[in-house]
Amino acid sequence: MIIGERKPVKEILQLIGDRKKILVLGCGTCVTVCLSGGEKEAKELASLLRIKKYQASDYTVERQCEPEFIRPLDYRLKEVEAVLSLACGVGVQALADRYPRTPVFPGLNTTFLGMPVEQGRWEERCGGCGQCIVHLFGGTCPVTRCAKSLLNGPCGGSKDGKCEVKPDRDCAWQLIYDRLKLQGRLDALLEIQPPKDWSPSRHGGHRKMIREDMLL
Amino acid sequence: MKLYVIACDKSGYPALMKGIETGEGTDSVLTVQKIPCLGLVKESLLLETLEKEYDGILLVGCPLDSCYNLDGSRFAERRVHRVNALLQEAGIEKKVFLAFVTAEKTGELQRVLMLARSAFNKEESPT
Amino acid sequence: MSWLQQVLEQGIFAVTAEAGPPKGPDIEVIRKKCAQLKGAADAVNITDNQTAIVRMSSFASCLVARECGVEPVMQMVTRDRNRIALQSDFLGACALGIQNILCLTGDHQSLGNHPQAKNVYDIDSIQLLQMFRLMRDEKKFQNGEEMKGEIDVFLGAGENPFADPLEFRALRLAKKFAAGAQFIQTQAVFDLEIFTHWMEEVRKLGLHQKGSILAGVIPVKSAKALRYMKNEVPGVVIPDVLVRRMEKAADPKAEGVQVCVETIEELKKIEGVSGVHIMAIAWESIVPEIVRRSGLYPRPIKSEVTSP
Repeated sequence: MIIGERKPVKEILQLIGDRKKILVLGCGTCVTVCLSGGEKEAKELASLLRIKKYQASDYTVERQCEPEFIRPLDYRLKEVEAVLSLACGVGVQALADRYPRTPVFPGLNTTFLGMPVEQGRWEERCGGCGQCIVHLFGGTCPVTRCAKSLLNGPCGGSKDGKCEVKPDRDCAWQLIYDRLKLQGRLDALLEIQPPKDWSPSRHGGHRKMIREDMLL
Repeated sequence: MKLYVIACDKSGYPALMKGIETGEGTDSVLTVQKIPCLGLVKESLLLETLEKEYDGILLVGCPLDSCYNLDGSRFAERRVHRVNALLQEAGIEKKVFLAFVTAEKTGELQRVLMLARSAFNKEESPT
Repeated sequence: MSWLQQVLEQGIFAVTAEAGPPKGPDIEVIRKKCAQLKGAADAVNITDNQTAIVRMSSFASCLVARECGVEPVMQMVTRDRNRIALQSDFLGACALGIQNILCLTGDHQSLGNHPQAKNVYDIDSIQLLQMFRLMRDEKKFQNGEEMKGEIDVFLGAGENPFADPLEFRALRLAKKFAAGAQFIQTQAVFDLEIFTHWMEEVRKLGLHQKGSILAGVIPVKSAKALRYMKNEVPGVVIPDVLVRRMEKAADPKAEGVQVCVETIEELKKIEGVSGVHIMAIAWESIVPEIVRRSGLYPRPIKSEVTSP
């Protein structure tokens, strides 16, 4: 899922500026599950704004990133000066595209593609590099989970199985080593992985996907 | 100071009634809501209540380890902490207080009421 | 052929040292370090923004070192440059006569003085080795395109025998040799037990015959510095007994040198160790004394060694 974290309220207030009629718009998908931008958080933030004397209302759509889910917002948008979107960056842009006359402010910082590893703790898992090679590494992605995206083994800073850059996180290469050892596939690590082709990643420019058969 | 009190019917509410009978520092209590457990109090309820004229909310319930529903008071403690953090971030001078009492031992309630009073007096006095 | 390569191929126990470029444009700093190291080391590593702290470029500093009569080992890290820039700088360095390149991934920028920087890590150190070997031996760029001209370069890499997973460390060395490393400089050895064990693994795999292994050493000035390294520097293992020894020393600086000399004496006895790499960070002046007391002085001079 896409993980986002609420911006500090102070920053949100600065974004809003002196606009008074605000719609706090939650998103019912990823950011609901990671407890940062769903209905509950939208209600809380709207409440907080009302205590601060804004005319804030809140509403939550199933998915802010799909036009059919935001289309029914047309009449609500007519009555506000700005929208505070609690969706990820995709949702914010979908809204901004649909309502070009209304300022849309991001209430979250979109942080990563990840998963909950325990209650209340989420971790990054995928960097969306466009060419998945996770099978080569026993199901642990070094592109995303190694701070240096090393493809040929651990750096010299792994200690007690933890990353030198983020000592509270597992060293991806320790995980890879342990998993492949368990599977009796350590020889896979002796193979030299060639430089990665980054052209399918964001480094190759803005990306798109087309399904010819689905085009109208 | 105007307080909205949410009281657990197993501990907080009887303690509060006792306090009201003896008139001990309960004059700022404007409204009392009786609930089965503090664990039912969600952040949104706290914030919506603070949208009204209240300066603060007082949650009165069972001590952490003797909650009838095991974790109710613990949940309440976390949520109060979170809501207070939000209020502080937003620069709002309203607060949520939490007092753990039993039906017999009401001293803690008086202490928190005093605390609430001094918190608001301090914030009100310079203005 | 690089002088360092000649020394190693003659089977002479090699000595390399390290000099960090200045945090500013003053080349006198490099000249001074080179003057201190000249004659004590066969080649001197010039670091590439080590610990992710901005310094004068390794490339420029290498040229200054060469002017001073010191053979440089140009360190190149993949943190800050992609394959385009790395190949370009490699060609430039080779053209200007830099003959030793040490291929590293580089310390992560979040541990340095510009933690806000965007990193590159387009390729890793092993891929860097492979790329430079391809350019030298097959006259091809990384993309496979033909390249013109001769390149004479001695390729090296680092290795840390002390980091986790320990069991993978010798295999990782095997990968570095397979990718094109001709010499290896290790992380500083303080724990001879782990190092000896690692070397056993290395010999078992026959890796000591695939290239030259230079064991790293660091002379420390105080127990405090040693403790700092033990606790704060990732990938360094320091036994407690060594910390206690430094704490008890009446003259910690002298003791630090003594420890370093003793370590080198032990390293010389290990089969498959072809030399030492002395990293006297901000203490370059002590290197000649360490080299002398370790029985490694005088260093061979060019006329005495004939290239094979």
